[in-house]
Amino acid sequence: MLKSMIHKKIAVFDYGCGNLKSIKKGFEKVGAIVDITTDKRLLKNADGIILPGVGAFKTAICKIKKDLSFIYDLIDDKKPLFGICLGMQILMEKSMEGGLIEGFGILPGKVVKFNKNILTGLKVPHMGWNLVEVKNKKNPIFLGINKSYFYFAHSYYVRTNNEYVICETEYGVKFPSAIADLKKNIYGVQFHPEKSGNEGLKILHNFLEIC
Amino acid sequence: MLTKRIVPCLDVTLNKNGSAVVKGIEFTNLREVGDPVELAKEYNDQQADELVFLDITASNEGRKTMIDVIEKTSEEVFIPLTVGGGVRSIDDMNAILKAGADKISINTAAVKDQYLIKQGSDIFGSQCIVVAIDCKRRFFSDQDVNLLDKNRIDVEGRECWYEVMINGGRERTGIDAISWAKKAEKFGAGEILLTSMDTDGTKNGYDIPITKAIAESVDIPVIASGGAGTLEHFYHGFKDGKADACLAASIFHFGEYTVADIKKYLFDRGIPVRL
Repeated sequence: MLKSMIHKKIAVFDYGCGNLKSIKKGFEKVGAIVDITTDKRLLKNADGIILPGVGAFKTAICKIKKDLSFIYDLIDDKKPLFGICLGMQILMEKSMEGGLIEGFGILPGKVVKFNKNILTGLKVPHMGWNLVEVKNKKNPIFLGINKSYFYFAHSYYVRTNNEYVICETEYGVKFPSAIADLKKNIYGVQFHPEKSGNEGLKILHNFLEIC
Repeated sequence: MLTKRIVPCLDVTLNKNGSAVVKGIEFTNLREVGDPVELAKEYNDQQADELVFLDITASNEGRKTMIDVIEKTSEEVFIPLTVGGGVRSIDDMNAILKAGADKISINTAAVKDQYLIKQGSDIFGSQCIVVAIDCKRRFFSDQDVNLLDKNRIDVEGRECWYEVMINGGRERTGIDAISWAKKAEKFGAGEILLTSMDTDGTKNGYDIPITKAIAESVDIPVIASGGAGTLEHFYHGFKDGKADACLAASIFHFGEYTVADIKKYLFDRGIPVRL
C-alpha cells in the first residue's frame, strides 16, 4: 500500500485516434500521474506503459510500426506493459482484421473474428457487459476478483496458447478475455477496464501496484 | 453470458444562463431536470450499463457545451458514453471522442451521406459508430406512393411500413426503416439506436413490431427507444422486441424507477442483466 502512496507515472502510448481520455481519467482516479504521449523520454521514464485500444488493427499497426524496436527495448527492460482491447490484440503475431496483417509478435497467436450466428442470435460486435472468469489465480492483475462483469466492444478476439490465458469469457465460443506473459511483465485485457465501473478501476489499481 | 443493457438517455440543452441542463422530452412537459454531470453520476451509482447524451440544441454553442459536459462526466463516470445530436463530420466525431466519449450517434448526417458511416467506422472502428434511426408508421390505408419497395409490418391488425424521419423528426425521407438499418450495418454501423416516433413520449411501451423486425434483420445490436413508462415495458422490449439494450429518459429523470429497480425486475423474470 505504501508503494502506491508515491505517485506512479503511467504513459499511455498515443498512436492516433480513439478515446484515451477515459484511460487517463481512470488511472488518475486510482492515484497515478498520467501522460498521453509519443515522447520516447516520457515513455522510458514511466513506471508502466499502456497500449490503448480503440480503432482498427491496420490503422493502429501502421501508426505504431516505426516505434516497434523501441517497444521491444522497453519489454527487454521488463517495463510493465498493459494492452487494452486493440492494444492487447496488436501484441499478437497476426490479425485477420482487414486481410491478414502482421502484429507485434510479442505473444504467440492470432486475432480472429467472431462468427455471426443467426440461430443463436449471436451479434457482432460483441458489445456490452459480459462475465469474465479468472482462470489463472496467480496473476496479480485480477487480485481480489474471481468472476465479474466487464464492458466489451469488439468484433475480433485473440487465440493463443493456454499458458498465456488468465481469464476466459463466453460469447458463442470461449475466448481469452485477459492474457499475460508474467515473466515479461506483459498484460492484456480484451474488455475496457476504464469503462467497467468500480471493478474496472480495481484492475487499473492492480496494474499500478505491479509498476 | 452477455447481459441486456439499461441505458438512461440525457437530452442536454442550454438554459437562460447558458449552462447545460437535461430536459424531459414529452412535448407538453419541457422542463429542466438538472445538471447532466450530476445525473450521470447518479445513474452510474444506480448500475446503469451505459449513458447516452443527446445535444438537442444541435447548435455550435450546444456542441461546445456538450464537449464540456463529456469532459466533466468522464472524470467521474467510468461506464460507456454515447454522444449524439448534430454530428455532421469526422471532425465533429474526433472532437467528441477526444473529450471522452466512446461512441458517436449519427442520424440526419448519415441519411444524407452514407459514406460518413463508412468513414467513421474505418477510422474509429465500427463499435464506435451508432446509427440512430427515428421512424414513423405509415399505414397502407393512408394515401401514399411507391409502396412496392416497403417492408410491410402488422401493427395491431393493420398493415404499415415505417418511414425514416430526419432533422429531429420534422422531415420525411421516403426511406424504409428496415432497409435503412440493413444498409447502415453494411456501411459499418456498430449499433442501431431505434426510436419510434409513434411511441416516443407516450409511456405506453416500446414499439415492439418495428424493434423486433429490425433486431431480426441486422446482426448488430439494436437499442430500443421511445415509450418506456413501466417496468413491464423493458421486459417486453427485450423479450418480444428482441432488443439488446433499452433506452429511456423521463422514467429515470422524474424518479419513478431507478435503474436498479428495473434490473431487479428483469432479473426475476429471467432476463440476463448485470446486477
